[in-house]
Amino acid sequence: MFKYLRGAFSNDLSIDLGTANTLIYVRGRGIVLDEPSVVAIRHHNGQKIVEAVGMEAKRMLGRTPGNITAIRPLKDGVIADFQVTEKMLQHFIRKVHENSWFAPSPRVLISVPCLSTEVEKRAIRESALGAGALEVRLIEEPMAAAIGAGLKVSEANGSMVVDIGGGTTEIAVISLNGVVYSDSVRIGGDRFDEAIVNYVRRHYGSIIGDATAERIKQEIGCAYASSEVREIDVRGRNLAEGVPRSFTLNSDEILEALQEPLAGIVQSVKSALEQSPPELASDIAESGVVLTGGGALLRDIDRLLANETGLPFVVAEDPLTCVARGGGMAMEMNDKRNIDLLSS
Amino acid sequence: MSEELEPQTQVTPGPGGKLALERERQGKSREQIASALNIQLDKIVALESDQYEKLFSVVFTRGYLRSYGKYLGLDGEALVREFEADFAKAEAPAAPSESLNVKMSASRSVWPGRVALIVVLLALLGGVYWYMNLASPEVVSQAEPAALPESAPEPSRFSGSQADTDAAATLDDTTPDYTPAIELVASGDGESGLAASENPSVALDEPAVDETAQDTSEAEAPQEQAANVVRDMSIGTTSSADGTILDELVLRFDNECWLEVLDSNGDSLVADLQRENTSLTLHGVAPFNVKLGNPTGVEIALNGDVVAVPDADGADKVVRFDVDSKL
Repeated sequence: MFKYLRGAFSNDLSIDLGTANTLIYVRGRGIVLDEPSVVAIRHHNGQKIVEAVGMEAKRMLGRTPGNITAIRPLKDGVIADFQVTEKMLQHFIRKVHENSWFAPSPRVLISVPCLSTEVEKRAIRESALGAGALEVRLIEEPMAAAIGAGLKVSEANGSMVVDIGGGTTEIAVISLNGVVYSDSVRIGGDRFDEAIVNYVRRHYGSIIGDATAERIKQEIGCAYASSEVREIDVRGRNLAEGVPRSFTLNSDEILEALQEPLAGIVQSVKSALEQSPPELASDIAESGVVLTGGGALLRDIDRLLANETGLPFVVAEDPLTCVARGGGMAMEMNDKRNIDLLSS
Repeated sequence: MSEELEPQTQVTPGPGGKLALERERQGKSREQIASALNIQLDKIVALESDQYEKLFSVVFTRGYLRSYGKYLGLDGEALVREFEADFAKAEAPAAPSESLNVKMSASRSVWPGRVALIVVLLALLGGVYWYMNLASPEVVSQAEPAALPESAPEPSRFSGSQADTDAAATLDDTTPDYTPAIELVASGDGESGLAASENPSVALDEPAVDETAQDTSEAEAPQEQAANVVRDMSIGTTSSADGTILDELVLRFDNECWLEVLDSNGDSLVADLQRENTSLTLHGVAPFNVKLGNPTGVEIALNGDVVAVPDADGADKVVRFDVDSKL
């Protein structure tokens, strides 16, 4: 009863519960929260106490004392730590309802990887309910990404979207408000970071942290050879000497480091195109493929995929927020026009 | 004719026109561009002539402009901004209004619901307050007779809380013969009970029995309890139809016992089986003739005075005796 009462004073939320970042879109207000999916837990007398969530917790990653653990509760797009995810969601939902009279109990739409199992979907649903949601609905990530990117998903015309997230890359062919083909590979931004860490260890004998690897990726990372070579100075702990050492990396080296995960994505896209129905494949070949997600910000990834497949690839406007925005728009369409785009 | 058109296209080239000019300046053909970017030739033509409606959607137009600009060494983002400023509004006038509708509908859909909820809540609270106010005077009026110290007899353990709790059971166990006495007592609820103590004739002129019978049949448990409370509180306050003060006989049963009680006229007040741990209050004119099937554990009080129960004789344990206030 009280939950319904509180629900009347809460906003409808679309949540992109990503491995790397969690974004919340509120109807009529747009993206209101974009924070890392990181929670810092303090262990005290055998109890787990949430020390920090989001941006603050991310700053603690790799810099915590023994009794604090900064963890990412989602792995490969699905919940790895149920309780921590619940706490994190609770924190974020409260944060977007800071001026509310009551403890919020909103209707929530959460995007899930398209190949999530029923158990994984249930974990996400239960976690959101535990965090205080009044009602939880799920939508497949590529469908939300396509809507958020501005693709005309309701037309009898094939559209293809590739959403490169932190944990997974989702590929889907969409037509008439439905997913005709979808695939999900566990390659994403995290694998890019991991590949950079491994490359540095192999070639420079130094260890760098995940945060440093992410910064390298964002600043000089690229997916296609270019005449413009960028450089970055980084510091890592030398394995042989055990002391911090500084060295310079360039974009060609990072391109080499990223070859393996990029090849995985290219292969998945090719596989999706092979398995698309001929009519829809023809539509896609004519119009092109849309890239969304944080991975789409990797320099020249559209060029790499275009070269490998022979199709035009375009990066969506504001690719990081496509899924959250698309989820919000799907809710709207569902309520106003009774178009069901949501996953069961 | 062509001379007239040319200066116009020269003066206001859109982002596509700028791309065409740059391509020509670099000496590249449309085919080369189409091949390099994997975009179909007719789309390149549409783009260069700023005919964006021939492209699929805004998302692709933006992407093509960005890729094409980047390929020619232009600022793709600037081209996209220019496209959005000059052409997106003209191309899709519905888009901004739709987004406006989304915002408006969001606010419309949330606030009426909230206002309606607040109104319903206030109405509910008002209803509860009204009901409480409506119900409370009855309770107060029923309790009023108990607050009259002069009419209440000296309290005995029979009129205590135990008797109160057992009163409901007593009411259920009574026979039709006993009903008048019970009804008379039960009619002491509310105003009639108070009236009986102050002005018995007025109270008895009223069809108190009928009212009580209706109350008894229709009343729910709380009302029954309230009536019982009043009955126990009104010991010694009842009177007969001709104004004679009635005696009160209270019987308490620790064990199961059959009994029959006759009043001074020989009328049966009760003839029934009483369950253990119950009590019974009767009103009539003493002396009472009492017959107990199992006198063990039976305690009797007449007008608040405890009466000794004779020991049972023989195996059948039945005792017959008279209870009189004059004794």
